[in-house]
Amino acid sequence: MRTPPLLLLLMLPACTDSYDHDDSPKYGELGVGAFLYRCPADGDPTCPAGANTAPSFPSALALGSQIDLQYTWQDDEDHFGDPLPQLQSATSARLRDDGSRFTALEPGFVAVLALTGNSEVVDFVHLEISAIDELRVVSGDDPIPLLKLDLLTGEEQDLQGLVVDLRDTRLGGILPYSWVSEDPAVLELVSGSNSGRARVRAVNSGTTNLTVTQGEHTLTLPVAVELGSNSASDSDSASDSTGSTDSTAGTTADTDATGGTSSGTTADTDATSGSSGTTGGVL
Amino acid sequence: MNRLLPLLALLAAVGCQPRFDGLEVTLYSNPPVPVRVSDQEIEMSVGLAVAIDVEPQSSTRFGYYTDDPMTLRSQDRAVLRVEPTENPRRFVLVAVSPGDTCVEIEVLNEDHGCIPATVLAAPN
Repeated sequence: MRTPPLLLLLMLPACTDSYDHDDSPKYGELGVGAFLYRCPADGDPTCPAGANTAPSFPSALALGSQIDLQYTWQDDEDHFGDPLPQLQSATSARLRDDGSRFTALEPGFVAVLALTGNSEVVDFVHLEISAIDELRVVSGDDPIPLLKLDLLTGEEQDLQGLVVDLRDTRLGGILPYSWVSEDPAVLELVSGSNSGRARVRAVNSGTTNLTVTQGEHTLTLPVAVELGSNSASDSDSASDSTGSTDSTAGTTADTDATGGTSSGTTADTDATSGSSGTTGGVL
Repeated sequence: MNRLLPLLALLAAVGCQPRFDGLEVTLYSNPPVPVRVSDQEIEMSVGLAVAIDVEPQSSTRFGYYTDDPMTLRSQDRAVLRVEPTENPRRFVLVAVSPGDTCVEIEVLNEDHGCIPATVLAAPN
């Protein structure tokens, strides 16, 4: 049978490795090189757990947040032996630079310049800084915000704090967070109590609240812990490198582009752990 | 007649030179917020950078060579920086802080006035 050309065309993208995790830089506006977004500490939702380079740039940076930037030549042959240019903010009142570390101080667009030693601009890129409108918490890499947390005893859960602006845009950058369990006998913080990414463990059955604070924004998540039948295996599986937890049910909110919110219930399934569940929002 | 030769040579030399007749300014980059850049005015919001290509125009039939030295210089770099690039005809304007300044034009080591520049404080 002759394969129709259209079918071949459709097969082509499926055969290419489009799901790699190579760093995806932001190319400079002069096309000479590319800027890489680095997370100077754990907790920036832009960088996957355990990675210090973001797969892509966020649409905007959170006001008050910090990032690291790095520049690479697009064509190493043209610049073989050339030192990497210095990065500099166009205006330090908006984006303060301290070497490769940048702090977002004022909302608006700001250019980051790549300069050679003799003050020639090699390239530049624009970033947007946006004020924080709302604080949210998500489970692992699930983008749906949690409204409550349901766990089984012994279970651990990775939680990611994230902030959005008035346009519902997820904002990047390292920010200070505070995670407090009202009753550590029910839910304890395992790690990340002052970072954007925290791990909690359900200790005993009961209910409590988990309070997350970022700047002037506070979010309180009701937590319900039930007695787990296989709490030991849950605890083991939660310590994998993906940070995903299994058979964990939390109530989440679906947020549409307009900022409207509806609630649903999710449960993650992980084939490696043997536990099962369903994923999806129930409106 | 011989005494007129140097004068004639001088006149011929002057006549073969380009005569500055303004700049052709072209935006090379696309800033996220609109800017106004020409040889008559520069207006940008603070924080932005924009690359421009600049070509001096001549009113005589003798144009400028691409390697004729040309400089754009900001009178107040605290308001607007004008930075060179690897390309001698390409410059990057950097809006540093709100205010007014003027960008001086120098072609073949001769001053040719300046372009009024305004950096706006308005939120982007």
